[in-house]
Amino acid sequence: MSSRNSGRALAALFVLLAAGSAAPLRAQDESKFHLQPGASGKLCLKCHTDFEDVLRKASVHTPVKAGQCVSCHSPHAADHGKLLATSPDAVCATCHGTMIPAGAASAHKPVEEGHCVACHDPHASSSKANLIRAGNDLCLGCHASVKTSLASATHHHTPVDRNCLGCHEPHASKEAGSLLHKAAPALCLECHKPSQPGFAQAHMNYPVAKSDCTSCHDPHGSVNQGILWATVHEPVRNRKCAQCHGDPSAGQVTMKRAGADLCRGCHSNLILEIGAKNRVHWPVVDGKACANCHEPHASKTAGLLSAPMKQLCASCHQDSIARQDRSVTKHPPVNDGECTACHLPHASDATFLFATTDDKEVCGVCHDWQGHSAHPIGDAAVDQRNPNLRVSCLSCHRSHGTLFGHFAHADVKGDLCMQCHTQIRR
Amino acid sequence: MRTRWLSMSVALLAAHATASPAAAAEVLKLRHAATLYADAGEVPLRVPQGVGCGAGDTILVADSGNGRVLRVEISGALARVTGIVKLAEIVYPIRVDGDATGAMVVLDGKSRRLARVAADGKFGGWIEIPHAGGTANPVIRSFALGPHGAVLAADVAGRRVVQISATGSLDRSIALPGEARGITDVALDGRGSVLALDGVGRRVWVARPGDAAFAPLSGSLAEDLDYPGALDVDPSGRLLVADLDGGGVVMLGPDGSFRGRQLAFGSKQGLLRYPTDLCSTRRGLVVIADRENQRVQVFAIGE
Repeated sequence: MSSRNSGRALAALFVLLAAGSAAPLRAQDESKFHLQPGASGKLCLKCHTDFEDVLRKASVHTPVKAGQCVSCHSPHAADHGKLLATSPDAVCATCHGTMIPAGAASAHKPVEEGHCVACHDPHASSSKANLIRAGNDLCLGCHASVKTSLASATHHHTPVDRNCLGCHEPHASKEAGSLLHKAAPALCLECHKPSQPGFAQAHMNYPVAKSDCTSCHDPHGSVNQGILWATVHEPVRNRKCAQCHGDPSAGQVTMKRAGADLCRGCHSNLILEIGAKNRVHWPVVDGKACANCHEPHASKTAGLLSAPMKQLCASCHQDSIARQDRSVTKHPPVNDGECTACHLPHASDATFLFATTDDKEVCGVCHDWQGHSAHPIGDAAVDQRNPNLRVSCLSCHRSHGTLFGHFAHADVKGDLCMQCHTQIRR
Repeated sequence: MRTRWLSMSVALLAAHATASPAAAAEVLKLRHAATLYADAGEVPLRVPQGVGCGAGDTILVADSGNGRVLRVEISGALARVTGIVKLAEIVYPIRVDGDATGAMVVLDGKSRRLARVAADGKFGGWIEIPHAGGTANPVIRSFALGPHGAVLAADVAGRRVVQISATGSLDRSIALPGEARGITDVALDGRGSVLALDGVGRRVWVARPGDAAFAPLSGSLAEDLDYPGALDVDPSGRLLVADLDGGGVVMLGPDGSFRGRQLAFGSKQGLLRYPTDLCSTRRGLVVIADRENQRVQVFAIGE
């Protein structure tokens, strides 16, 4: 018996036990609330007549079926909505305990939050396990981005069309992230056998059985053949693996050169441009080099970035993104994760990896600073706080945000202007 | 009841009075002492990124945007440039330190290599660092001077800190741990321990003499600073960390524990905008490369 089957058997046993224990519970409730003998839920149905339809549904919650309304509801008064006996995020756990095993590698957010009703109807449903909708419709109700990509995919992954639960656990996974039954590649290898000739041929005989399949493939489907992610590195698309990798007959995946030296073969112009600049983005030249930010095979993000830009940049510059999150006024490029609207990602002669040393020009791409105000700005306007500075956009603003409006360094009505205009301080 | 509270308060005050001298020695206050804006010819500093305090009473400034190194004397509230070193080989100096003889080591930000410069200002050659096995060319992010002319260099390509002797031999190589995500500086403490500052991971790593690997000295400093850019150990053994994005200096105890924070973000004298390097002198001064304010500021340490 597989572990999944044994899990199902245990769940069935649990349901049987729960049904068996309903009778003593009923007796308990009758005594607790001084109900007439045998009254129980029948009493509730006298008023809640619509429950007769509920009880006719295919899947009825065991306590409802047993007339145990008071298992979840307090009949007279309660501190919680719908006369629930305990808080909505805890009421299910009174019988079901935690659905997240200790040390789980991942857990479904509604389960973590005790928001079971996001998926289950607490009384009854036409779908099994009291699910509010059947099949993938339920999952795609929340996972809109997956729904969108499935709709646009021209190459489908068959198990996805069948059922999300083919790969994902609904509550939590003890073993893998993203609620997967197992992590890739073990999960994928349950269906895709490396020993099959087609598998080897598709992977150009490279021994990929131990690689993370999702580094190249979109498990939900894609517009690309082989369900490769939306952005594919040209050598991969053209099946020219040998441009980067050694001979696969050695039985292992080897690189022809290390770090940026490998990428230099095709991206020499870019590497030369980087080398000509005074300031480099340090990850570009560390041991991992280009692979710090880029996927070598395929990516869901443009530019083969390994994550959407905001997430990627925040993996190192978390304080800058956090500053924007706290900021009173949002700066759209930062807020929307368009970091390269202002910063060059590889190298520059300017600090902050700006395209130019003059921050007015950087801001001027979007903002007409000349029409900004009558305030002097530019090379002739010496910053009164510091003789080595000229008044520029960053004299008053901090582009990643501040606790003041318009991401000013200080309160515009108070300290900001007074930092320079000390003569008019009252 | 009141009597009991009174006696407790007296006991607490007495305990505080006993603890105060030790606590005071740990608490650092920085008072603005001097600012360097320009050289003697009124050429303003441009993007000064590095400072070095190892050259006796002279401090060194990597005036990166002007492609030069300045020798600076501090006297009271006066910071005066006494020498300028500009070399064709070193295009964009970003870190510098020297010894009492006037010789110095400079990190060129463009080539990411270390150069020796003689006391007379002549180029003394590049410091050759052997490749780490199987990796690309060494890429030096920062360095510190050790005893007897040794140089400790953070090689971010090789993910290691190496110690190169005055004669150029590789004396020690300490691998950076996998969790160290972005080394921004290295320093040496009075007991010979090598400290590595992890800017991205926001923590300090330590390799004590004889250690083959780094171990965490501090826990995460994420609550205490934004982005640690530079590290120095002052003569009392305190760790001074420049908070690059936060505009301040964070003080840690020798065990890496947070002891306090000084200075703030701003452009007025005494405030910082993106401090990229700092060093402390034997005379109790802390020198800070105040990059985006295009100046170097000097602070006196007050206990």
